[in-house]
Amino acid sequence: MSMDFPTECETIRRQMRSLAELDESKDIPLSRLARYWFSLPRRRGVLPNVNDVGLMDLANLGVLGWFHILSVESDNPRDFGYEVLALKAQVGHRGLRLGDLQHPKYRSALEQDYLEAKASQIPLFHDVETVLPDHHRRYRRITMPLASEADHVSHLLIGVHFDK
Amino acid sequence: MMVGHLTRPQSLPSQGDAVIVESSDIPILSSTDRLQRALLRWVDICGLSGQFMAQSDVVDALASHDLLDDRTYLVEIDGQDPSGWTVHWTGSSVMFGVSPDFGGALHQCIPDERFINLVVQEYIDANRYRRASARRFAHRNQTSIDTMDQLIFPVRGSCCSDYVLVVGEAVAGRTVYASGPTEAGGNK
Repeated sequence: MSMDFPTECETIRRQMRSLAELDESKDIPLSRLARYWFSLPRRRGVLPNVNDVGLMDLANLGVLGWFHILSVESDNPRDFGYEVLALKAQVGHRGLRLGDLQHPKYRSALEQDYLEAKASQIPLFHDVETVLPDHHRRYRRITMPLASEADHVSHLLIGVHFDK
Repeated sequence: MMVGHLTRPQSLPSQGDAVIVESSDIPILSSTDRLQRALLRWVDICGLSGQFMAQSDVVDALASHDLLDDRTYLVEIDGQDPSGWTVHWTGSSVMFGVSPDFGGALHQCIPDERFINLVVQEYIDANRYRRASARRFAHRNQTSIDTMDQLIFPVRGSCCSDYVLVVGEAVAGRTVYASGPTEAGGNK
């Protein structure tokens, strides 16, 4: 059961950027993930299959710990669930649903962004700043759609790169 | 950028013998937090390319880095024939114990020469190329599938012996790991 924090303590700023603005020298994990996504085979349609994303592939890219994989099969974004959670973000655990997030504005922002990413079927790149009662983070985020069986978005591969 | 989607089939089905053994990258969706953390830990210590260099007793050195747990084993690689490879340490959920015959120990768990050859070749390659590896091993026939995931880490002992440290998990069917709840820790 989620416990909401007071919303006046929360500020969530996101700015969508063109993928061309992704600075490969600054956001190395994100640029590697993006190139990886574009390199994945397309068995049908335009979307890569989530089952083609391999642990060693990601290790070889040096991006372990810098990405989430979010299941977006549900029509309700509150039921979107993290199947892999970025270990370096230290923000929770596998099995977490967006609806479990404690901060209402943050949860709402993620629901909105991930619904948009699911609908768009293309990679989306954002600058994000979150000010919450228990942390303040600035990071860049790239959200890339993946399919499972049919050619519809079932998962999002989400790269996150935090400022030091 | 080179990105691999390599699957290494060891045999093709033939009439009357529809057994397939293969190894492939571990799918990210089914890789557990434990395996991801173990791989991250290894990369932090050794990098993906490179061996763990033990300056003292290999088991003690690995234990001091928290690299041994209940589904881990350590095998000394000596030549191409796994019947001469020594199992030096196994965790409590591994189905075999210390043994001078790794090939025989593996055969007790999955009695298929092609499967054993596939596993052994991955271990040899990890050592030859001094490179960590994450492999899903599958053994399939028309009625069953046995699948396990393994991280394979190359290790060099202080007297220049080569080892692999294998951190694994059962996925389905019969494997080298005990099914059911696992225990922490291991045995020598």
